[in-house]
Amino acid sequence: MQTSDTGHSVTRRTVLASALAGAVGLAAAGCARGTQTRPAPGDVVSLFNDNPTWAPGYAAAGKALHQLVGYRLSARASPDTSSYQQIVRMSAQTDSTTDLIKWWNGYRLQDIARSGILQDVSSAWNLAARNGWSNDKELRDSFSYQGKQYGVPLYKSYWAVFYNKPLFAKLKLDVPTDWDEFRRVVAALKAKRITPIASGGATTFESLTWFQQLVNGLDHQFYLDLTAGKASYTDPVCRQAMKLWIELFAAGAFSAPDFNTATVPAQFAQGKMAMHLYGSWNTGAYLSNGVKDANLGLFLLPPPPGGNNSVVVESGVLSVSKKAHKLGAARKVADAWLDPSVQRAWTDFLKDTSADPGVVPKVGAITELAATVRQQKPTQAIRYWEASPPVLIEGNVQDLSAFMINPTAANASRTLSSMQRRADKEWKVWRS
Amino acid sequence: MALVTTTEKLPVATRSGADQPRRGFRWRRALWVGGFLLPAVALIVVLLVVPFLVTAYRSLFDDNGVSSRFIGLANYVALFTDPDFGRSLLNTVFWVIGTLVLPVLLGLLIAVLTNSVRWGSVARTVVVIPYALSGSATALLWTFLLQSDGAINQTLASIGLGGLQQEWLLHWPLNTVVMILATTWQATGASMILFLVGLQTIPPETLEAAKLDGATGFRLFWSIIVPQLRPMTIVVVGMSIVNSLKTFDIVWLLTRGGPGTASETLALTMYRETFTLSRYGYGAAVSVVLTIVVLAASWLYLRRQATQR
Amino acid sequence: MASRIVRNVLVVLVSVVWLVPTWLVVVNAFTPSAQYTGSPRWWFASADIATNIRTAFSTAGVGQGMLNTLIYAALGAAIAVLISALAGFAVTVMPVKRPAIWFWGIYIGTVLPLQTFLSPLFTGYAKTGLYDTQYGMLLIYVAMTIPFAFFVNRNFLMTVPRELAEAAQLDGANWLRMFVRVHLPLARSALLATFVFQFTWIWNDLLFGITLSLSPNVRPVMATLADLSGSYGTAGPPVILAGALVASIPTVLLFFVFQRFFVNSLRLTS
Repeated sequence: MQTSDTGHSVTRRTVLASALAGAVGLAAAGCARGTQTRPAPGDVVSLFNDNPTWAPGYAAAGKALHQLVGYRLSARASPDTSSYQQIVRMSAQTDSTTDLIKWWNGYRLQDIARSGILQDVSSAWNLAARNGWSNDKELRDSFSYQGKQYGVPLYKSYWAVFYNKPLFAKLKLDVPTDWDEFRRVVAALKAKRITPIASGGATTFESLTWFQQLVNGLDHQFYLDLTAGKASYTDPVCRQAMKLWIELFAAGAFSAPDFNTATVPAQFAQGKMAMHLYGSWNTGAYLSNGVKDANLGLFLLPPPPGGNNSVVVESGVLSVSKKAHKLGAARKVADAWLDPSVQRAWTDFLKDTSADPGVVPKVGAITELAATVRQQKPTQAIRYWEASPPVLIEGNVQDLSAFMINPTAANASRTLSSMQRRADKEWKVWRS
Repeated sequence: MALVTTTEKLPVATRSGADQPRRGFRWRRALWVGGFLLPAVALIVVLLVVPFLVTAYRSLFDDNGVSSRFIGLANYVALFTDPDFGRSLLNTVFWVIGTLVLPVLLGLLIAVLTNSVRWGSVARTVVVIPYALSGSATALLWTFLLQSDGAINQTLASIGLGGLQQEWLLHWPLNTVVMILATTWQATGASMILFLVGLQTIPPETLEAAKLDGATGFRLFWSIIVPQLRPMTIVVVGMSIVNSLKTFDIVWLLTRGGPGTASETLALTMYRETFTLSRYGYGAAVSVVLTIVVLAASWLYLRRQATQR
Repeated sequence: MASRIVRNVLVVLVSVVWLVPTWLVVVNAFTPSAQYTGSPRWWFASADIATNIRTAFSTAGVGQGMLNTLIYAALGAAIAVLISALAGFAVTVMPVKRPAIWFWGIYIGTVLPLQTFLSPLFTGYAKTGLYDTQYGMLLIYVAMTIPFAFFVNRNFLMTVPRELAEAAQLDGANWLRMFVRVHLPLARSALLATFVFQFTWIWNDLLFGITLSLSPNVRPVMATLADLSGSYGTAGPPVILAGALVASIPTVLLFFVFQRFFVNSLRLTS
């Protein structure tokens, strides 16, 4: 630049120059690299998940792990599930991958296991079976691809009905033990102008809740066949399930379909809502949003007429990345994950059931649920979300959402046909 | 470029070819122009255009994000035969029309109106605040208002208009319409500001002269102000076309494109295919089509503009 | 006279319509978590917003996020405005051959859908070591904000009378000097407007924030707010609103200050 003859442009030049200097300074500072992507200290294994609120739980589990195998956990989180999944896929083959990855079981696990980015951790399951921590064949199958396991269970949740104990007591209602009792409970609540059941899903995955519950409750084997692509969505069991669902809609059992699940605890606390069929992992959300431990209960929904005792199970997955910087350490962590001391520390935070039936956190609702499961020994079905190829599920869940807006018999039949058309197409793609 | 210290006189910009400048001079001129243009062009090519070309290439593959297989144009064939694609395109057209009519027009009117009222600056601040609010607050706010048990329905019920209650976000095309209104609330402030910038470029003499000629009110607005605002109008309309074609955030936050795929726009279809369904190749094909649509629309609108100096 | 009343009434109407939703945001940020009913309130439930803000700041690193974003937004917008003003000057004032090509070369940045970039950018960033770094974030923000700033500045510079440039050249000014002395001061309001807009854009960005950063010392503010409202967020809506409200103070303030500047300069001309 030329030498200036006026003070005016000198100041402007000074401003420009200092801005430039600032930019250079920032670039040269070198402190700009993320603390969590710098190489971790020797005894730290990194873990990537989609839930920032679990950080204290991982820290507690890490402490227990440190005593067992000498490694702690350092958790990183992406707050949005779809962006999380995408980052895992994108980073799996780069230097930016973490040692451990949280994932989903069933077909979602197969989907990434078959592209070869995960480490075989079958040894962890063998060890857990040998030590009597967990020997659950149905669960193990849902972690398998071509006979090998590609993750260990982060938790094992049951889909059961949260219920509002004070409200049940006030209206002198008992936990229903069969379908008729359940309908009577719904009717009694409705008569008192209380929303019987919270049920969102108009724009979320939650629209699968009642579909999976009713199909699996009517005929567990059929549910397994259906989700394995061996039965049709237009078969009588599905039609019957839709009919029951429509009956519940007609009886005024449900909240508005665009109900926001995050507000259920507040509605419970104020006695405006009585029940919520959901994953037991939601217990913590109730307890931290104003519902007292003693006021929250969980029961398994009785099967519809002609049905069987079966429960939907959901399990998060802890996988080891094949490109992990500390592959050996990560495998040791996976092996020790189901150790009761680790599970106790973890589930005390999570307030949910563990894959080890011997570990139950000291929470009323969960204790109640664990006792029911021990007593009834229901068959287990994998949650619909993970039970078929992801593309098929995502599309069908959207169909179910659209159905919830307009729950009529004609729409049910259209919805089932559309789901079957998608199944025909996507199973072909999956198997090719 | 700060090193170039020339005091040589530069010729007035003339239409090229009128007189041949010396070679060294042309070389130096190219250097100057390059120095001014290079930072912008380089950043855009490296960080935006190259990634897009990568995506365009990817659209020729069957790609799950981890492994891929070449399939030629099959993704495009699948896209154009997908019934959802038509709906998505239609919604996108709604968005373009809606945001051209509402935020742009309202922005212009409010800019001019508030300019002539004493406490106009207060009103302007009120209109601009939503633009400055963060997305997470606006998303929550509109869920508050529009949910079936939300504020609008509660208010309607409490003033005895319960019959007007609606499931605002659950039925097409109502959901698209209310989301366009929500966007209007947020985006009008931006176009208003741009129009205000434009109003400043109108020479006061022009307005005075027009007033002397007896032009007032609507006639002044229509025959003097609007034509004078043309350069800024082009910016506002141009950006509005582009942004509405790429509409994503508010729909994603309020309905996730649902129920079903009823309120999806092209950008949401792309996002769903790519990131929810992990069909990276197919999603890339949608994004190429979307880009072509946006580019074509912008070109139609700006083609004469772009060559102006 | 009648038209003045009409104008006033219209302005009042517009203000009220615009204020109602904003009012809801503010009021509900004051609701204590325990009193939150699941439906919005129209009047303050308490006078205490501090608890909600504290919860937001301690559950998610909103404070650190705001500091990070302040760097990205202030520096990023300033650099983008400067670069785009240079480019706008080049295509409007300098004798460039085929200005249309340069126009589209830069303008295309606004045309491309954002979501398109995520995957290739992530891969590129991971390979070059820019992933999860502050300069990586700054770089993408500058690139993202140039096209719009360029468009505004270019169109504003087109309104500058050509004679001014010619006069400056006759005075013997070189291009840079002409740019700094003549065109930058004239385009002040456009430059300022684009700075404010681009600052706001960067400040409110979520998409690149959650994709290209991970660590607390890099993550921008909207990504930290997403920790509160994310898929498994356990904080109630009042806490999210309180956090979002605090996070919006800088942009609102910026517009407010900008507005004052605006009123002054308008008085000068009309």
